[in-house]
Amino acid sequence: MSLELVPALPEDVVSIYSLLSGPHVGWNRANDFGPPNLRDIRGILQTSCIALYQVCTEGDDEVVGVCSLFNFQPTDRTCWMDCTVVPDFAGELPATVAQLVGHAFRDWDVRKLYAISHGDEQSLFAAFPAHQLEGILRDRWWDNWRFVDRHITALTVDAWKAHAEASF
Amino acid sequence: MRSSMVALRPPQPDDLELLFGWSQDRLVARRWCFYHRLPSRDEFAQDFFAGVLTHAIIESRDGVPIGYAMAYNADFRSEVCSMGSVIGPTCIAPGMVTLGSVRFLDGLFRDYNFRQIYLEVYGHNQPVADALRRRGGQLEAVLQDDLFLDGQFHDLQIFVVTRETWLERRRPAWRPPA
Repeated sequence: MSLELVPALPEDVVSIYSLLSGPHVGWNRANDFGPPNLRDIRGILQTSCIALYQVCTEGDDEVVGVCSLFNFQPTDRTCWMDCTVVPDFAGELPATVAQLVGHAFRDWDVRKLYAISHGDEQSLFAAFPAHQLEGILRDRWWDNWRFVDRHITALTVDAWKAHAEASF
Repeated sequence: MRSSMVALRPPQPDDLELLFGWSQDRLVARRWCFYHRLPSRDEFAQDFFAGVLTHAIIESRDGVPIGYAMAYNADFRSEVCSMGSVIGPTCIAPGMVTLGSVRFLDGLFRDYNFRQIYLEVYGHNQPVADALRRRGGQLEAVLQDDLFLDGQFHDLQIFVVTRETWLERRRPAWRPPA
């Protein structure tokens, strides 16, 4: 089943919070300063955010994830992105990320997109062979009772275009 | 916190005006990461405390504010935070602000249970990057061409100072024989 990005509305905050506070869904942005609470989640989601989407199943609109573009710098044309889906739809994550990446590069004139991943997680840009690892913050993240590394990866618009042309 | 050369004190309400004035200085603004647009008075007042854990005015020995240091993005679960500092526009001895920043960093390790403190330095600010290396900072990430300023791109370097390294460096080199 394919997934689609649906712009999140203010009234969706509670359902997003339910999703993110579940045991199997971690979202770096919402969890960066510890598990979020309902009072803070609205601010966390909105801070520096230029686009916030719910990830929904096509057709029945079940919300199975959330993703966003944030920390957009219009002059530098850089932006950060994050995306998470429930484990049952993990196989659909690359296609969902591809939608968000395309949106960022096409609609926001972004030059360079950043994402973070922790420990053994694959980079969100794993489907784009030309993505770059730009740094590893050692033991940056407390997860599952241990400290794990934070990987910062980046994808440039040129790499994305080359990938899109090759795929076409 | 006071030493013979510099002093740190908590910002007072009146200091907001002083710091806003600094933020309007082109050179200071760059160091403060207001690269592309100076903040308005209201924006500055609104955002000044956002994400800040603790901060301090750095004063010279005669009580003149020469810099400002702040700790922000504290993540107590992971026991890390970020730190930054700026040099006031009238300061003619930036080394004093560096000294104040070092004392501020020392206080963070002393007063909080942080394992690691991160500092972000843009490529055009190489003296600061060099000073960090000398004090045990380790470069962990380089975000290439992250900033577009004055017609060219600059990298963003992310340094980490670990508690272990910091305490090691603070220890006196000479120890009495056992």
